[in-house]
Amino acid sequence: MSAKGTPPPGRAPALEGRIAVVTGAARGIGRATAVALAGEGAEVVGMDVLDLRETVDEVRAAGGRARAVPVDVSDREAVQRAFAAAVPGGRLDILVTAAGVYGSTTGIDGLDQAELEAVLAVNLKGTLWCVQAALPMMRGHGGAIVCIGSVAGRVGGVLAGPHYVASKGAVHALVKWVAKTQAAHGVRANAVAPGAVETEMIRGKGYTPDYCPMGRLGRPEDVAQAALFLASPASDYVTGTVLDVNGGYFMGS
Amino acid sequence: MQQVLQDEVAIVTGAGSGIGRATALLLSRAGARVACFDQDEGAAHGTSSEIQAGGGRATAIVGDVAEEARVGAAVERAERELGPLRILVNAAGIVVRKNLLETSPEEWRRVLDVNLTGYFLFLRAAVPRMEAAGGGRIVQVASIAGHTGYGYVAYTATKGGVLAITRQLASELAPKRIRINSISPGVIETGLNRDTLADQAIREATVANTPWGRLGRPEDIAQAALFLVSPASDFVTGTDLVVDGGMISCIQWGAARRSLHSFHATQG
Repeated sequence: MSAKGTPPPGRAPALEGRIAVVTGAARGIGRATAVALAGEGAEVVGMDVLDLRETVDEVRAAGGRARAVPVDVSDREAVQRAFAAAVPGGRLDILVTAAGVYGSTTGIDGLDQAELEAVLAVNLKGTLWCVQAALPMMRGHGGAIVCIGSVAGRVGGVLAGPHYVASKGAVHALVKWVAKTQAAHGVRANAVAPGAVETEMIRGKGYTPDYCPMGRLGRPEDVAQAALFLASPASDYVTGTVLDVNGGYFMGS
Repeated sequence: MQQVLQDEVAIVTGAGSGIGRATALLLSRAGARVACFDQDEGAAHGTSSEIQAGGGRATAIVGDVAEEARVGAAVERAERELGPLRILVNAAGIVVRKNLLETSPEEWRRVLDVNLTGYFLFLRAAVPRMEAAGGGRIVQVASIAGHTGYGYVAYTATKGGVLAITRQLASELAPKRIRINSISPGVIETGLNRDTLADQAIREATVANTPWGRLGRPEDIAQAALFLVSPASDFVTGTDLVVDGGMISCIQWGAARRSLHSFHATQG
């Protein structure tokens, strides 16, 4: 659990022999999570609509294993095909859903149908389709699902629009449904709710380091380490929870 | 061999048994030097001896968490013997399984003394030293009782208090580079629950009401504590990590779960 994504010398990697799918792996939180999981020995399948070469190169340069499977997570058929191609043996251990879009910040008055559906398509449907595809590959031997939610889904957001906020709240609710219904199959499900994290998603939208008590924006690695914890055996009794990673911005329950 | 908590000094309360003991042992395996505080002399020494036998550094400190002078002396001794304090795990706790009208004012005060004032005193003693050392990390063991109510008025009140004080202090301590978070365990197999879990009906009902299908182990909480004191959680403060096998994440129907969840599949 070092911040660099590799275990300290002398400690066995926590995820050796595990296969992980990470969506939204081309950049930001997804990319950092792919690097962190691979750093602990997992074989990572990165999925994204964007070019995944930099992520794969970064993992391989650090001595890890990664492959790229391009897919639009909002397309159910494409997701089914991508998972079948990504996991040839049909055995998956870890799913991290980090694919997400922010949408406009124009509030509700100007929100049109296309804009709403574009955000729900990736953040909600994309998460659900990936969970749907992953579960049959996890039941029996067990698995861990980590969905990237958002503090916006906890508190209603500040700068984010209503469609983004609603989509992330839905992700938290979905995680609890998965946790409840899949525990008997040995599958855990949890969410990470990041605060403002320095990624392309929020660049130029007015987030400043003083937004939280810790006085800095989050880094993709902060979220990746939380996802790594929730994907690893260290969290074997943690399911159905939402882990806040926000520098103290929101402390509700 | 460089470890996650290499040579960092931690003090763990209630380290003689259960969650405190498992946490002390795990922090030690991650490289920390651990001061093991417990009111039970034999138990405190048992944990510190086990750490030392494994090649780690530890010291046993005996005392009551509710006695201010003892707590101050304990933190001072931990620093003198092990080095500058960077980690505090507040885990000492007791439970009185009584409802409102059964709980005497004396019982109420004793539970508050240990579970809440004990945490407060260790926070007061530890924070200035962490600040002087350049920062620190604090983990407070709360409970799902603090979220949901759990049948025991004094215990539930203290655990709700732990959740509240943790949030209060996260913003207050952030400028001192100190992170503070809580963990809310579900039903963990420890001495605290030994009497109730020995009752087979209670034990079976507890497991049946836990989606993950087993009781918690002290090591489950220790792993969460390790995450929250390690650099991996460097942006996590003021939060509560629920470690309960899904117990409070959903309405759970115990033995009826399977038939309920597939009711329409079987009834057509």
